[in-house]
Order: sequence, then structure tokens, then C-alpha cells
Amino acid sequence: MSFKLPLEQRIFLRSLFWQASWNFSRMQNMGLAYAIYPLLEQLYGDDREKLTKKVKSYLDFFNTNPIMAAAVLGIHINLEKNGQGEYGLLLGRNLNSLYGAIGDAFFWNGIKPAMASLAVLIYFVGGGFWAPLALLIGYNIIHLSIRYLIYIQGIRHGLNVVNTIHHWQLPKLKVIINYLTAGLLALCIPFLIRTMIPVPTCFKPLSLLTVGIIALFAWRIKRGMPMFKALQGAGLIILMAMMANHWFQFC
Amino acid sequence: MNILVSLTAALKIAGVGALLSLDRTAWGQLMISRPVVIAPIIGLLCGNGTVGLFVGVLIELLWISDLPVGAAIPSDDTLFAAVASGVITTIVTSRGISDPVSIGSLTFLVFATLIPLTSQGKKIDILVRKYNERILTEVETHLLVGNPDQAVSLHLKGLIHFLGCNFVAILISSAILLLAMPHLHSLIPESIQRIMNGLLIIFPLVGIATLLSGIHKKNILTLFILLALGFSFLL
Repeated sequence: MSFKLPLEQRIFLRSLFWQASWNFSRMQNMGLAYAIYPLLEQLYGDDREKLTKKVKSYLDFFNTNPIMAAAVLGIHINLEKNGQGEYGLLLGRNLNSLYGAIGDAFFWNGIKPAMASLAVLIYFVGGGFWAPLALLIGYNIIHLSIRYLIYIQGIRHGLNVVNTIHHWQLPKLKVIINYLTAGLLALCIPFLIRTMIPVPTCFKPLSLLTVGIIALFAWRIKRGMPMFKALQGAGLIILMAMMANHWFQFC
Repeated sequence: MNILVSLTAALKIAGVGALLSLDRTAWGQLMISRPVVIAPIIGLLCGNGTVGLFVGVLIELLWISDLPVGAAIPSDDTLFAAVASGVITTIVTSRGISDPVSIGSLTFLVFATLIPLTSQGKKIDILVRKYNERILTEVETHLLVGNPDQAVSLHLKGLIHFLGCNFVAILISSAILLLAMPHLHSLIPESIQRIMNGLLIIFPLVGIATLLSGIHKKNILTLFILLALGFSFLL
């Protein structure tokens, strides 16, 4: 007995390979063609010429956020099923940049650093291997739920998925997540110092020094200082602090 | 460490590292390729998951804000984490190092050697993406002869490109570091090792600074300073 997943689920799983052949000239075009192929085969499998033509039409330039691409894929499936595939291709191009911007900001600049900060905090408070697990579980619950939901919404409601995503207010949510990330990282500081510089008598001056270094280099990096130079600068400050402590025995 | 042991360890690191690094671009983006995840896995494989996790946390913080926005290719923190955690844990295990200062100084030494090489990791990523353009030509050839099934499945060939390039990059850098680092590290006097261990904190600090500088909200830095000082004095 052979088990075969329903078409929609198969396409979703194939969409996880979205960027397998990412290239500079047409970026994710092959990802879209690869993901949607089972549907095209089902719709046009009897006519090889039409099927080839359809695949060709999906090989144009395509680039968006790989997670939000699930919504575009869902819309394409909806329109293909309704015989409006060409319309979907035209419209998809306009949606790509919009979803690219929203997805990159929300996932790469919001959820990813927030979950990584949570994992790091768990590590520094002594959570050990719960840290990577927290990142994997926390991130993927949000990531896969949104990815699958917008995909299914795209299939069921076509272009109306735009309203659903708009209703979620992802850009506003991202700002809140950014503040939470800053809070998590701030909470990390005392535990980070205790783990990395275990000198109990020096804890308060070290906290001031640490926060000062972060503030100074956050300000300098914002003004274009490369990370490598920031590392050198921070190293020099720490080295000077160590020398001063060695000579004057502060703690 | 002799050449055979180093090469065997490098092969192990490269095999697992390259496979897990596919998650970075080619497959999934499930965060398996994040340093805090990949480093303890490779650490466990090389005999010390705890040291691997410590290395991974430092690398995670250093590159916490590097983003693949649009068509931009960020520094390859996955390759960095795979090589660094593999090399450090292999040396720690094989030489029986348990002193935190020695582990810290070794970590600093490996990081200081690898950071200038991260731009090479980025170049490898660019190379793979350029090489993937050849797939497009092959796809068009298959479509010309009316073979859409094979044309579409060529997409997965990109996986092999990513896997192969990452495998070679991790293998070469791990092998070189595994051969050189034990000797270099043993030459460093204990007093310098203590300084290197103390300097290790710069990596998370600069990483946090980079993340905060990238959040375009006026008061986020002020909020962070107040909260960090508050937590430090209260906890």
C-alpha cells in the first residue's frame, strides 16, 4: 500500500526547497516552478506542449521573502485552478516586493533576533541545551504556522490573502518584538558578565563598563563603523580596563 | 594532533556541517543552521557538546543581526560556527583540556583567526549562486525537447552545489586549523591566555551593539541602557 500526501500538502513540502537553486539572474524562479509543478502536471498533464509552455511561464524572475512566498504560491494555485494562471503571474510580480519587504522585516529583523536573544538568555541563566531547543521550537511554531496559514489562505481565498496579512499588522508587531528583543538582551547582561568574567567583587563596575561599551559601539556602528573595527576598539577598552585593574587593584 | 586524526575529525565536521548548512538558504530556513544550534550538534559529535554550545552562543550573539534582506548575502556565520565549534571541541577533547581559561583562550584564538576569513565564506556563497545559473541553461534545454519533468527537478541540483561547496570550505579550514591551532595555543604563555580569555566578552558585546544599531527606533538604545543597568544592579 503506498501513501501519497494530498496535492496541497505535497506542494507545501516542495516549497521548503524554495531557494535550492537561488541564482543572481532570476533568483527564486526555479523554486516557484518546482513547487507548483505537481498542480501543473495535474491540470495540463495530458497536453505535454501546454505543460511545457506553462512551466516556461513560471521561469521568469522571481524574488521575495522565502516564508512569505507561501502566500504568493497559494495565490498562484488558486488562480491556476480557476484558469487564471497568467493573471496570477502578472500580479505575483507586484506582490513579491511587498511581501519581500514585510517578510524580511518581520522574520529576519524581528522574530529571528528575538528568538536568538531568548535562546542566549536561557543559556546564560543556566538552561544549557534548552537554549537551542527554545530557538528551534519557538521560531518554528511562529514560522511554520504563519507560512502554512498564508499558503492555505492563498489557495482558498486567492488575492484576498492580502487583506488577511494586512489585518495581522506585521510591521507594528515587529516594532513590539524589537522592544522585547532589547529587553531580553538587557536582561542577558548581568548573567553574561557573571558567566564570562566571574569576579564577584567587580560586578557593578563591570556592568557599567559593559553597558558603556555596547552603547558606544551601537552609536559608532550606526554611523558606519565596520564590525571588525568595533571588535578591535572593544578589545582595546577591555584590555585597558584589565591593565588598570592589574596596576591599581580595583577588585 | 597527527594528520590522520585531524583529517578524520575534519571530515566529520565537514559532513555534518555542510548538511546542516543547507538550512541556511537551500532548504527550510528552520534555524537549524543558526550557530546556537549547529555548534552544540557538532560539539557533541566531536566529544563535547557543552563547549560547542558555549562557542555557538558567542557566535550567535556576534552575528545576531546579520540579515539576508532582499538579494543581500550576509556573512556566513553557519560555516564559522561549524568550523569553530568542531575545531575547538576536537582540540579540547583530544588534549583533555578542562581549565576554563585554556578553553576561553583557545576559543579567542580560533575566533581571531576565523573572523577575517568570514568574507571568504560569503564569496563561496556568491560562487554557488553564480554556478546555479548553469542550471537555468540546462532547464531551457530540457524544455526545448519537451521534457518538463526533468527540467523542474533540476532545481534540486542547486542543493548539491550548496552542499559540495560548503563541504569543501569546512573541510579545508577545519583541517588547517586542527593541524595548526594545538601548536599555536601551546606556545601562548599562561598570562597571555588569561588576557585572551578576558577578551572573549568583546564578541557578544559587539554583537549586541550591532543589533541595537540596526533597530531604527529612536529610544531603543536608551531603553536598553536603562534596562541593562537596572537588571545589573537588581539581579
